[in-house]
Amino acid sequence: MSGVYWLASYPKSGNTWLRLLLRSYVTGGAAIDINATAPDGWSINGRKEFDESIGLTASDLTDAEIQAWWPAVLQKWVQGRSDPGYLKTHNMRGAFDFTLGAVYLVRDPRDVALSLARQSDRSIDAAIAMMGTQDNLMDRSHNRLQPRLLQSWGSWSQNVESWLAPAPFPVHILPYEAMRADPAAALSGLLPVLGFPVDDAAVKAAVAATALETLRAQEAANGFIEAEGPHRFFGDGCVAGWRHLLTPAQSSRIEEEHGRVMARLGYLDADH
Amino acid sequence: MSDYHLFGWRVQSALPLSELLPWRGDARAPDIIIEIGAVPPVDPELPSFSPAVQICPTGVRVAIPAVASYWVEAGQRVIVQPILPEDAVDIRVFLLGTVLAVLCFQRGLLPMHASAVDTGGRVLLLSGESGAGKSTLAAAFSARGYRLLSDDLCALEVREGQPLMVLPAFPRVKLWRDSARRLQVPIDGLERSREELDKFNVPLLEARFQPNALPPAKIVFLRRERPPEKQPLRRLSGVEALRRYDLVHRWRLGLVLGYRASIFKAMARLIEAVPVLEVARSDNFDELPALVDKVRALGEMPHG
Repeated sequence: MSGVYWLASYPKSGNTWLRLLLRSYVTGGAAIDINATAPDGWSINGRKEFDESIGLTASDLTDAEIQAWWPAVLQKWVQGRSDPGYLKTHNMRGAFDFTLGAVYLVRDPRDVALSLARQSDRSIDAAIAMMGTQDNLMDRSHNRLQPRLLQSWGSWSQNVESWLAPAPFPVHILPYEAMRADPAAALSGLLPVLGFPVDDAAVKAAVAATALETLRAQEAANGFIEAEGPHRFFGDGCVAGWRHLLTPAQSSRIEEEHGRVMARLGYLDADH
Repeated sequence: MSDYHLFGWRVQSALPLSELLPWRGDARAPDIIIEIGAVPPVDPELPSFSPAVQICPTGVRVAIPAVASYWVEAGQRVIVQPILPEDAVDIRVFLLGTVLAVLCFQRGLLPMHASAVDTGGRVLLLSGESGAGKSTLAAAFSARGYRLLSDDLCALEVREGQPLMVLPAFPRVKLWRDSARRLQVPIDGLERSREELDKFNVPLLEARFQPNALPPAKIVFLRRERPPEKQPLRRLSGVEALRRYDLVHRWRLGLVLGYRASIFKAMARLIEAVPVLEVARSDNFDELPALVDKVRALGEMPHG
C-alpha cells in the first residue's frame, strides 16, 4: 500500500538517530554509514524533487507559492510508489490523507535550545528566540538561495501541538529522554506504528550499531553531510544538560513561552 | 510588436522582452509569435502534470496564480494572459524559463539546464542542481573576460549528419544579492528577477555575450558539498552520464510531453561527443577563483 509514514520532530530531538536506528533495523541490525544517502533518495525539502515535479524552478518562486504547491509534490511522489515511504520531517503536521502513521519525537525544549544553538552556530538566546517564533519558516531564501526548500517548523510549542492533536492516523509520541534511557524498548515500541514486525535480535543489533559513540566517531572521522555550522552535529545526548548550561533567565524564558506544552508532556515539575 | 533574437529564432512579441537582443537577421517570417490574449481554460477532463502545468492535445498550459497564464502551441505560438501589468518582470521569468523549455521540446531542440561559456570557440556547459552555483560560476567566468551564451537554460541543436551546436540565448545572468556582492557585480538600479525575490537580472555587456552558435566542448556538473571532499573531480562513465537526465531542463515534463525518444537520442549523441565531469564545490565564495581555474583548466583540456 502506498502512503507515508512520518518520522517527525522539532529539530535536535533525536530524529536523525531514529532514522539511522531504523535503517540499521531494516537490514537486520547492520552497521550504518551516517553519510550514506537515504535508500530511496527522496527528501521532502529537496529542490530538484520540487522543481521536476512541478515543472518550475522553486528558485523563481515566492515562499507562498512554494508552500501552496509543495503538498502536490508530495502527493505525486506517493502516487508513483507501490510501497510505503518513510520520510523525515521537522514541519508542523500537514493534513495529508495519504499518511499511514507517524512517530513524533519530543525532547525537553531546554535541552533542544542547547543543541540547536550548537548545530546552527547561534547563541543560546538566539536559539531560544527561534523556538519561540510563531509560524517560523526555515531556509527562506533571503539574499541567497538556500540549498533546501523552506520548511514550516513553527514555534516549538506549535510544532509539538500540531502532532499531538487528534489525527486520523496513529501517532506514536516518543520522548527523546525515553529513547536515551532504553533505546531497545523505544525502538520495539514504535516499530508496529511504522508497519514493521518486532525482531528482538535485530533491535538489539540496531541499537548497538547506532550507539552515540559510533555516530560521533564517524562524524569526527568523515564529517556529517547534514551538519550545518562549524560544530559537530551529534552532541553528547545529554538529558537535562540545561540544568547547568542555561542561565536561570534562559530556562525561565523557555518555561514561560512553552510552559503549557511542557506541562502536557511532563517536562515541568507539578509545582511549577 | 517587437522582433527579438532567441536561439536563432525570430521571435515577434506583443510583450516587451527587455532581456532579449533585437532581431538583426534576415527578413524571414517570425518563427515564434508571442501574443497577449486569453489562454484556454483548464480542461477538467485531462490530468494535470502539476498544479502549474497542464498538457492538452493542442498545447501546454502554464499557470502562475497572481502572475500570468501561458499557452504554448506547436513550438510557434505563445499566448500570455497577464494578471500583473504586462511589463512586470515576474511574467517574463516563467516565459523565459519553463515556457521556453517547452518551446525547445516542441521545436526539436534539447533544452539544457546549464549555463554556457565560450571557451575558445567551444562551449563549456555548467550544469547541476538548483543551488549548485551554475549562474555564480558563469558570472565568475564572465568577470574573467569569457563570453556567455546563456545562463541556466540553453538549447542544443541535434541534426542528423550535422555537428551538435549550443544555441545562444540572451545576455543576462540571474544573481542573488549575496553572489553579486561577492563577485563585485553592482546591482544598484537593476530589476529583480521577481519583485519579491532578492535575485537580480544582471545584463551582460555586448563583449561578454557570444551571439553565435558553437559546438559543445565539455559538460561539468557542479555539486555542492561541504568539506571534506572525497572526490573533488570525477569523470563520469558513459552509463553514468547518460543517466544524468537533470542535464535536461524540466526533463520530467519533457518525458510526459512525449519527447522520451528525442531526449534519449540527444543525450546519447552529446555524451558520445564530449566528456562529462562532476566537480564538487564548497559554499565558500572565497574558493570561487580557484574553482574557476579548476573548471577552466578542464575546459582547455584537449578534446576526448
